[in-house]
Order: sequence, then C-alpha cells, then structure tokens
Amino acid sequence: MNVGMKKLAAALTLVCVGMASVNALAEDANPKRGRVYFKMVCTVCHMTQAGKAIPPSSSTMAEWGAYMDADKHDKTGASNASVKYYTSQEYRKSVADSNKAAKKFLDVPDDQMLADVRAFAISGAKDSDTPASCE
Amino acid sequence: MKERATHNETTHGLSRRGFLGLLGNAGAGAAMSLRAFDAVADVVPHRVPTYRKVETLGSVCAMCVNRCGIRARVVDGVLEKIDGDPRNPNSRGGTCAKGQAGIMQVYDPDRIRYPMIRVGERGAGKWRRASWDEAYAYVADNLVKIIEKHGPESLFWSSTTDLTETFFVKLGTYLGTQNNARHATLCLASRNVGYFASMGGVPEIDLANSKYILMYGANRLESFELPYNIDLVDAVQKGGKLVVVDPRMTYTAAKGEWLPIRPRTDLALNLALMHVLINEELYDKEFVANRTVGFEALKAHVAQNTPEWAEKETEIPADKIRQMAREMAAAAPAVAIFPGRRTSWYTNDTIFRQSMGMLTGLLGAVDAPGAAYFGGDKAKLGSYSWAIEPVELAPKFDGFVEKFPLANHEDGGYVHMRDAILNGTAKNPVKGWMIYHQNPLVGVLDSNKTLEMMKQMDFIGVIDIQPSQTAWMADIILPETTYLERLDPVWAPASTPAFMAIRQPVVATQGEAQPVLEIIKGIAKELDKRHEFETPITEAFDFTMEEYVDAQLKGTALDRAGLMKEGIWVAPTNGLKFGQFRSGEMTFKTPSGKLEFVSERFIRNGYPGLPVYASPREEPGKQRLITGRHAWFTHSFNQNNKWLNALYPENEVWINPAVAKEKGINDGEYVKVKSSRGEIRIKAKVTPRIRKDTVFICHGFGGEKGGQTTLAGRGGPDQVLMESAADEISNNQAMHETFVEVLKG
Ligand code: SF4
Repeated sequence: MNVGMKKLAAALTLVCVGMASVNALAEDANPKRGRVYFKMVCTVCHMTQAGKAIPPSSSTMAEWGAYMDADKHDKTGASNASVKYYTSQEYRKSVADSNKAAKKFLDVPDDQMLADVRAFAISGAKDSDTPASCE
Repeated sequence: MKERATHNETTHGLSRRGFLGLLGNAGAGAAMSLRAFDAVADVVPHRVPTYRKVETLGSVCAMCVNRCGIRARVVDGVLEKIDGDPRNPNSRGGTCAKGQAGIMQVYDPDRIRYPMIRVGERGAGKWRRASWDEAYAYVADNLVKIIEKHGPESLFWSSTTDLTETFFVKLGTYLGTQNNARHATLCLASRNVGYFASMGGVPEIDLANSKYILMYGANRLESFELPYNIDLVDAVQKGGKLVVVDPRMTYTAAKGEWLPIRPRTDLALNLALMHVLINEELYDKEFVANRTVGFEALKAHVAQNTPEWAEKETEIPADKIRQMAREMAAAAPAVAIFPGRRTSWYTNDTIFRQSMGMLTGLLGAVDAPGAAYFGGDKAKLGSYSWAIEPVELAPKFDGFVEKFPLANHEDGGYVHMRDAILNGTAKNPVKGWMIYHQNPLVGVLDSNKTLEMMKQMDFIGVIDIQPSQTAWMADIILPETTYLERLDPVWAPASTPAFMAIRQPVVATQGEAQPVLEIIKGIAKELDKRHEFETPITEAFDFTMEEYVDAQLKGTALDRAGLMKEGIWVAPTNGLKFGQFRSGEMTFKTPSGKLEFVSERFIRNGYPGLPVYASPREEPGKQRLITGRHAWFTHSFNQNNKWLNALYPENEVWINPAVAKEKGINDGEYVKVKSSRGEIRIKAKVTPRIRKDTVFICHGFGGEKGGQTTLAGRGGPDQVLMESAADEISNNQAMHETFVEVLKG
C-alpha cells in the first residue's frame, strides 16, 4: 500500500468507526473510478438538474462519511432517493444511453461503485490532503 | 509606411515610436531566420495604403500569465497596435511593454512557421520542413513505439500554464501517462503547499486598502501580478506603508522601506515577529481565540525567537523587528502579508510560506478590508463533457506521490523527475518527452542536467511558437499559432467583479502554424491508426474549439458571437463581503476548519506541525546567487522579442561595490561567474542595491546556440550555474541555493 492509499485507508477508517462492513469495502475501493463517476455522472446530473456542482471539497471527511451512511441523496429528506440508488446498476442502466461513464461502468457491482464514489469524495474532502473540485 | 509612422507618433507617443523604429529592423532578422529554417518568413507586410480598413477587437493578452484585457487594432489585416481594455476589472485598461510588444510575437521573423523535423545531431540546428501529415505521423510513430515497448508510463509530459494547456495535459492522460511536470513545480508550488497547511489555501489580498504591506521578495512593480501591482500603487498613494524584505533593492523596494535581509533567513524574521506580537500581547486575541488552533504550542515554539536572536540570523536590527511588529499590530487587520508568486527560492520555502499564513492569523489580518480574504466573485461557466479518461493509469515513474504526499500530484515535481531519470531510480525507462509551450532548458535550474536527461530520450517533441533552446534540442517542432491568431477557451477568473473574457483571432495565421487543439487532433488520428487505446484518442478530441467554447458559455449571459463581439463580459457586483470567516459562518479549508498554527496536515504526513528554522549554510569567499524577472520579460520567449530585447538587450550580474572593489571589478566590464555546475560570462553591474553576500542575475538570458536569433549569445544564463535543489515538501525547484564566485574577465 503506498502512502496515498494508506492515508485514504486511514481517512476512511476515521469516518467509518464501528462499521465493519463498510471498512471491508473501503479497502478495495477504487477512488480513481469513483472520481470519474463523481465527475461524469453525479456532477453532470447536478449541473443539469440543480444548476450547481457539489464538489468533494464542500464537506469534511466526516461529513461525507455521515452523508453516505445516512443514504439520503437529498439531505432534506424531501425526496426518498438514496445515494445507493444513484450509484446502482439500475440507475446506471437508466442513463447509459446518454452518459458515457454510466455506460462504461455498467458491470461494476452496486456496493463497489458506491465504495468507489465514497472513497473519492472522502479523499477530496475539504479537510483532506487533496481537496478536490468538480473540474 | 510614412503615413503610419506619423499617425503613431501623434497618437501613441514614444514607446510606440520606438517599437516602430525597431520594426524596420525586423527584415534583417528575417534573413537569418530564413537560413536557419529554410522557411519563407513574411514579416510585417510593407504597403502604401490608399484605403484603410480599421477593426478593433477585444481579446486577452498571453505575453505573460496575467491575461490582461486588450483591444487589438487591425488595419487592412495587419495588427498595428495593442491597447488595454478599460472594461477588464483586473487590468483596468493597462498593458505593459510586453503586452504591446505582442505584435512582434506574430510578426517575429524567428517564428516557426512550418513543422520542422531534425536532420542533424540533436541541437545542431539542421532541420527540414515537413508537411503536417508527415509531422503527425512522425509524432504518432514515435509515441506508439515507446508505448508498445515500455508502456505509456515511459512518457514524460511537460507544459506551461495557459488557457489551452488542458488539451495537452488531457492528451497525455488519454495516452495513459501521469508523468506531468507543469509550471507550478518551477514557480509557486511551495507557496501553495505552505498556505494550504496554515490557512487551507492561498488567500487573496485586498491590497488597495492595506495600511501596512509586508512583501517578502515579491517584486510587484516588475514581476507583474494583476491587479496587485495597480492596487499596490493605490495603497501607497493612500498612505499605506510598504516594507520589502529582499537581499536586493528592487524597484518595488524603492517605493517603500527596503530591509536587505540575509538570504534564506526569512523564516527567522517571521518567527521573531510572532514572538514580539505574543510577548507584547499585540496579537488579535479575539480572532486567535475563536478562529485559530495551536496558539499555546506556537507561543512555546517562538519563545526563544527574540528579535536579538533574529538579528543575528537576518541582519535586520532587533529594534526594527520590534517596530515592524508594533506597526503591523497597530494597522491590523488592514495588514497585507503578501503571499508572493514565484517562491522557488530555498529548500525550506514551504515552511516559510506556512509561517506567513501563521503571521497573518496572529495579526487577525483576515477577512477584513485591507487584509487577506477568501471568496470574492467568479463568473459561472458551463463545461465541456470530456470522453472518459482511462481509470487504471500506471503510477508516476518517480514515486512522487509517496515521496511528496502534500505536493500537487497532477503538477508533478521537475527536479525529482529529472533526478529519478538520471539516477536510475525511475520505476521504468523514460524514453519519450513531449513539451508544450515550455522551455525547460531555461526555466529549470541546473540546465546541464536537463541536457543529460535529454540524451536518454528516444524521442523529444515540442509544440511552440518560437525555436526556444528546448525546441532546438528536439526531434520535431510543431508550430503553434500565437494568441493573436486563435480562439481559446473562455477565461473566468476569481475576481470582484466577476468577468469572462475571450481570446480570439485578430489577424490571419502566419505560415502553417496551427492551434494546439488542431495539432492534437492531427496526432490523434495517426495514434489511433497505430494503437488501440482505452478511449480512442480521436473520440476524446472529437470537438472543435467553437464547440468547447459553446459548452463553456451554455447558460451564461452571452453566447460565443456576443462574447467575441465584446471581448469581455463583466458581472454586476456588490463588492467584497467581509466578516464570514471571523463570525465562523465560513470555515478555513484546514482539517480543523480554523487557521492552524500547528498544521494537522503536516503532522499526519510526518512533517513537524510548526516550522522549524535552521541557519543557512555559507560558503566563505562566495556569494549566494539569486534570480528574478525584469519588467520587460516574464517568459524566455519575451527576451527574443525584438522590441523588448531592444529595451534591455542583455542581463548583468549585480554585485555590491565593496565586493567589486575587492575583486578589482568595474561596473560594465565582462566577468566570469562560476559555480560547481558551470561558468558563464556576463556583464557586471556594480551597485549598492545588493547585499555583499549576494549576487543577482535577471533570469532567461544567454545561450550561444539556437534559433532565437535576437537572444542568442546575449547575456548570461543563470540556470547553468544553479545547483539542483528543491523544496523539501513541495519539490518546488529551489533557485537560490547556489553559491558562486565572480571573477575578473
Ligand atoms: S502584464 Fe503585460 S504581458 Fe502580462 S498579460 Fe498584462 S499586458 Fe500582457
């Protein structure tokens, strides 16, 4: 494990205390794939639907962890959509015709895709060592 | 011609007249260039107009990194004059000499007008003209050969900052290399990492309203950074105090109080200033209590750093240090601890910049008029939806991420990369080097090492406008259009008020030069014929610049035609808003959300949380070499610009009169300057404006050979003398770590 991966694992452990199943996933998470998905699926939709991007650097590592754990896509709870749904194969399939990244990652299992996106968001959080924008 | 000269004399004054006088000399240079390149160089067309079609087009300057707004006056298709655009909130109608001399960027007889393929030894200057088709195939052949033999991680990819750089960087990414070396690693990487540690990022400064401005080395009146150089003059005119800490008295220092600090002791001064502020309880108690962390640790850390201690290190009198701290505290929060731009000085540069952020916090010089701030306005642009980048890229060949965990990994580290190649510690052979609009043989210290590295490359390709020293060593040169001949992506910087500006073609292209996007598309076609990439390169670049700009402008106030007509769009603004960080409504982008005197990021990456000072080494009988810019030059291509070169044709080594006397050196005579890495011949400038233990050489001159006929053989190249050194945390090159001997003739 290189320093970057070690730091990421440490960060994930930090926000996932007591969540053994998520920790196990985090070890295998691929933040590079998460980055492509975040930018090319999440951000593209946020821009189109809400007119604004939500960069990883808008929240702390702990906030991203808590957000993913709560699994409420809309933090206000106004809609029932979950983060899991927006990273699921079902969702990817529904937008595959118009979204190259969703199409490319169609075969990635749901848990894996969620872990990838989570890993990228946390590694780019504002209190991380590599805050990330949406650009 | 007479009519034009008369017109310009009456309208534009002396500098324009001087430029036009020089314009007549362009023909002589053209002949030399024709021989060098066997090309047909049509310099400024001579004509006697009877009817003049005059157009004025708004665009964006690219003679340095500031991107001033310009108005280009084109008469019968010939660019005659460049003026500042008063609507641009950053440049406010100004253009410097470089900006006006942009005309010669287009009509420069040295300019590369056709693809050129090397036919002799590297550097021998023997070239043949090639068609674009042949050039694209040549580049693709070489890149694919290397990729198939050694993997894409064997490609080294370097470029400099500009609006079009993103296309070149993306090409490398789609090919599968992460081995970028970008401008920041030669310039400001240490500043970025240092401020990232203490303040979560580099703040802007409300300089125009500052009452006390502390500039470490920053030479705003010569190394322009807009709008700061304009605001600085405003602040001083309003009675603001300017203190410049620099071993050399620059023109900026001349406008304020010059403190000739012993080189590489700047951190000691900051520690002592913090000592006084704490000891005399002059710091901003409310800000420190509510918006910072680590105060007690800082207090203990600087307890021994008295002004008397600092005097021994810095040679700035202890009383002066006390006076500075007191005056700053009295002016706070309207104090500008100016972050600076080129901070590639010393190997401890990151922790020095960290301390600047700490000093800012101690004074509470944040989030108030005249102080540091985050935020401000920025026009919101749309973005082009790129094809998917490869997900699994091979790691960088130099282990950069592991070695420099807090550096910007996308920018890379030039010194570390070069060392890895030369020391044989690279994870894989590095055999191909593509370079876009960058001149590493000048911009990177210890240039003999760069030459050594070049010998290990099977292929070197350069995309540039001029035959730079680096291009001269390449296997192929692909000529790019100048900024006055092409459409570039829209630019929308952080600025209050926000604006968006467009760089557009104002004159027809000279020769067969192409915009970089078209060059990449040409190479892409040939690459896809030869190799199967994860994302076909042609698919990745299947768009025009017009389409790219349209995507950026989607949902904005103007479409492409509208923005090109105006050149700029400025948003309404309510001005800067202060108070949100002080109230806690906004947080710093640090792990604690507060300004950190003890950096958590540093601690978790194995560095000391507080900056630890070490006295600089000295070499008796030698001087420390420092470098910098001149107002006429930012990039090395500026030095080959005939108009600019005429203003300052060669550089000098600045040497203190006492040292000159000791060595029997007279002002204006040629001397030898020698280091462990090389020797140069250069004119001496004997001046009390430099410390005895320091010499200064203006960067970017010299070089005996090359296709830049105006510059060739003029002045001395400082980069030849500089020993290889880099900042320990950011790997920013450290250009002020070399000691030299100045010897009579
Ligand atoms: S400072 Fe001068 S060279 Fe730089 S962008 Fe402005 S006008 Fe152009």
